[in-house]
Amino acid sequence: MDKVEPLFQCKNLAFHYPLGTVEVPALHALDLTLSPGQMTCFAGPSGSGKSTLLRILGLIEPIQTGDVLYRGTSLKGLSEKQKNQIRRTELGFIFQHFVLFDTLTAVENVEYFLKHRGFSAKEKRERALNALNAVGLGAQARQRPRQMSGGQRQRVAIARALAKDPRVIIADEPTASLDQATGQQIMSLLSELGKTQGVTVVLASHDPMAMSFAQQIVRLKDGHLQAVESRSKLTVAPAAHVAPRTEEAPWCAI
Amino acid sequence: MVRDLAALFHLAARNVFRNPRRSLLVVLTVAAGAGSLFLFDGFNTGILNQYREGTIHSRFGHGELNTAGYREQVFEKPWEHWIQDPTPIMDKLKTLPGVQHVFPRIGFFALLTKGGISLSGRGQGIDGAEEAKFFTKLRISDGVTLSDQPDGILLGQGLAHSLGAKPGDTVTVLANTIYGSINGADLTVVGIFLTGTKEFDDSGFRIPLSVAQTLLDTKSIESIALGLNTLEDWDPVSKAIAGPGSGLEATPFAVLDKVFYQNAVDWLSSQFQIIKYIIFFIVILGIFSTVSTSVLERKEEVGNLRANGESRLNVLSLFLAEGALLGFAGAFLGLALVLIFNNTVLANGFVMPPSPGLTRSFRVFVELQPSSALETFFLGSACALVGTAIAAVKVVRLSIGEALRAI
Repeated sequence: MDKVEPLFQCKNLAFHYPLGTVEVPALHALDLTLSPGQMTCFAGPSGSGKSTLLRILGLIEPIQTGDVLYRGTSLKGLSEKQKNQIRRTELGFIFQHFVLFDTLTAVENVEYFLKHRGFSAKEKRERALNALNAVGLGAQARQRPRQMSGGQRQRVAIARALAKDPRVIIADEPTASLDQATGQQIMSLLSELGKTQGVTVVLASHDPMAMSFAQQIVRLKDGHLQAVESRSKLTVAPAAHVAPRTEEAPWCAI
Repeated sequence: MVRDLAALFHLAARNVFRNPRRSLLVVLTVAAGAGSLFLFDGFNTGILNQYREGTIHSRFGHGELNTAGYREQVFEKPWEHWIQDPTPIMDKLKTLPGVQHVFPRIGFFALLTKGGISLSGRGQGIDGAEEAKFFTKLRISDGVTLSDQPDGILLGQGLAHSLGAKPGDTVTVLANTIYGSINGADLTVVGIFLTGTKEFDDSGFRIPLSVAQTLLDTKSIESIALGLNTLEDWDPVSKAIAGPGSGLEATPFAVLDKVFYQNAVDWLSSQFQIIKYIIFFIVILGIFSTVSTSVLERKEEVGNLRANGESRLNVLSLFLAEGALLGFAGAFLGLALVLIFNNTVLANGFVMPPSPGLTRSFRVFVELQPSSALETFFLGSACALVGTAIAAVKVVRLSIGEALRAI
């Protein structure tokens, strides 16, 4: 079997939040490896550190103790400019509350973050429309978020992340603001896109339904890594940056 | 870069309509500030112009010529330092561009007597006919102004009242000639003037130049006052006639009337500057207060922008673009409203009470200035920018994690 280079490697990662004069620990000496091309879900109850871990990988929170390697390169000590560059080109973000611009149409929302990538106006529009089509919202390109349902808005957010052609999609509780049925649709879409577009999806969720779509579940409790469960059933299509995997295996705890 | 700016302002323009009421509040705040500044500047200009025109057209003209050094000291025999042969100088002055009128004058002290009352007065010998054409702001409270009456006298109101004199009465004027002997003239009161300056009104009087020269037994004149086409003509005219080596010096009216006019100008200008800063502060505070709420509500939007690679500067630029648009709209609205207000409600001006040192009220017209409109427009917009920047910078400086912790 070809060895796949890890996408993320967390080494002795710890994090705390300042609360006045007290430091509240959120993560404790965590070691973790994430492989490319699969959907990984950080799971755990509220306060387990799953969102914190997700945000550290997304370069939203700083690396306080330990290190995180991204494709073999340490993320610790990167300048703000370097972090910006990675966030622009390598990462796509999906948040619980969608965070769309109400004053822009769906297609304008999607193409907004393409402006620093050197694309022409035509290229940006094309990419945006393609991304909207991929999430099934091609016909709603000119609608504004307030004219859409929660599920549609989250699809726009997914399209916005996809349009950047990221290597990784970081999704923080993507289904928390949605009803069960809509949430299932969104997770199904994310899973499908991950497979067809070859994008690694890393999400944080406490929803068992969302977890059921993941190939790998990282369970956290009180900032400690409890378990990493892997399901090796691969249906990922080969992509330029993903090594093909053909083995099938049931869920097993590592 | 142009495309980026266009995209920035496109989004900013959309964003200002997200909360129309709040945006309207910012616009009205800027409009109130810019409008107030514009109106107050116009009011100030109106008052200063009134002062200036009053000073020029009531007493001093645009300025006076004397022999060099005459005003710098007090002489025992001032007539020895008068202009001995004024005719060539006056002839030359009349040929200079910008010169409308030339007024030869003599100033002297004399004793005025009417009935049993004798009072000292400060007299001026003037070319009455010529001066009547230019000194139109000299208010005549009774009778007529001194023009071509060969033996007329024009009394200041306070002086006339003290002498108990009215138009038609005879007043005897006694003065020393330049040789030290006493000379006198019986003159008929033609009118009573009121400049509003108590000091002058209580002691001043005017008689024909020829009578004054006879009284003092001299052919020379003390000064030449000038009436010009415009204020801007003063510099070239004074340089042409009173340049180095000419033996003359030219003193503008602002210096001649320093105590009232120039001090009033300086005082009002300083007051305006202070009021300007107060208005700025209030407008900035108002905008900061309104925009702060909006910015805090958009914390997670800021977090999302930063998470997707927008720099702090990019995010701040977006807020500043919104502030700029609201500032432009507010400043424009403020100026437009003041323009309408001035042309309607204030079209006939309004009466101001006497200012310090003066004794009469006057009507002021707000004179809105194009240069002030431009300055006020930019200052109003700048206030909006500053208020927005102060409100936005706190949120923009948050780390992405802190901004997104609202989610």
